[in-house]
Amino acid sequence: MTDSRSRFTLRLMAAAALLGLTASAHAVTVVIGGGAAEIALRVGATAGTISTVTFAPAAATAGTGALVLGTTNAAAGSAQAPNFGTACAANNVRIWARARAPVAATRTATLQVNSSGNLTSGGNSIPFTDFGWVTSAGTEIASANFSGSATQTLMTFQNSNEVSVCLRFQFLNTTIYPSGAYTGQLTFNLAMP
Amino acid sequence: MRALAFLLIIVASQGALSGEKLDDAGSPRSRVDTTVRWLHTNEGLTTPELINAMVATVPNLEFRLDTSRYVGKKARIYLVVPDFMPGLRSPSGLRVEWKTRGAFLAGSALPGTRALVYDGTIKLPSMHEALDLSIYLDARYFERGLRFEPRFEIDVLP
Repeated sequence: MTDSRSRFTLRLMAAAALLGLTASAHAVTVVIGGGAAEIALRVGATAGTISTVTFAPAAATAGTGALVLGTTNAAAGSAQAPNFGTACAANNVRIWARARAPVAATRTATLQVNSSGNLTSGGNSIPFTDFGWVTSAGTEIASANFSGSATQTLMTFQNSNEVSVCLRFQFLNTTIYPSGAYTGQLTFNLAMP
Repeated sequence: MRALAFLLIIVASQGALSGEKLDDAGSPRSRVDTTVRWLHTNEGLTTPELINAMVATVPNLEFRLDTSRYVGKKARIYLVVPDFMPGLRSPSGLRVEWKTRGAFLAGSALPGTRALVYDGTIKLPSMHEALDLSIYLDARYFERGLRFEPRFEIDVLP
């Protein structure tokens, strides 16, 4: 009985020795930290050009609610190749956004527009709530009007993704304003907290 | 009968291993920290693979392998990329490429595979090799703090 136990003990030691040959120390570990998330936004023309949209309401229909479609300067709706390789229809503004971050579908990118300002001409002003848009290409931003908020949300999407829409801006023309050349600026903000 | 069963277990354990791990405890750096960056920054990212492609580089990662038990023997040494690693949600989310600064072979490997880096006679009791690693990641499956532990295995040839 004693001999039998002893042999078994020896076998265990032999096994441990054999396994020990394949359990050598492991010394090198590469720890990969997270890279920065990335967002990119294009509104209108590329290369830093500020696109303009011009509205020319006719005196005869002023304040009637007859929509006045805007016209854009060149390249406001140019293609965003290769994923959006076709230019928007004439007088549309392209909005393109990309948001990347690890891990898939864990962060949400939000595009907002600040329309809290007014268009002004001398001492007169027109609120941005008198303007809206029709979405002519893309689905991420629905047709709507500006709310006058500094943080009106236009769309959200999850990482990592790239989206683009074409918008045709319009003047709602529900109020008669003093004549003049009114100008104002909208600011679009893309964030991915 | 009991002894026979015991021997079979030992044999099966050995057969499940691809090779013997080489001790790399003498390597100069036990931990190397790096950060990942986006591989493509242009706007032509047409597929999820392109938009999610990231890379982390580790230049001059030095390994000192204890080959004292194999001096004079013909052997093959492999770099092994583990199947699983903390911070990687899918084995398909990582690929490792390396260039070498010594006698080892350049190559690449996926998680759960190994690649030949040396084929010949072991001449020294310690082999010192430096690799330039490029670790390609798919951001969909990557979590920061990923821990990649490359190891080396040796097969002694008859």
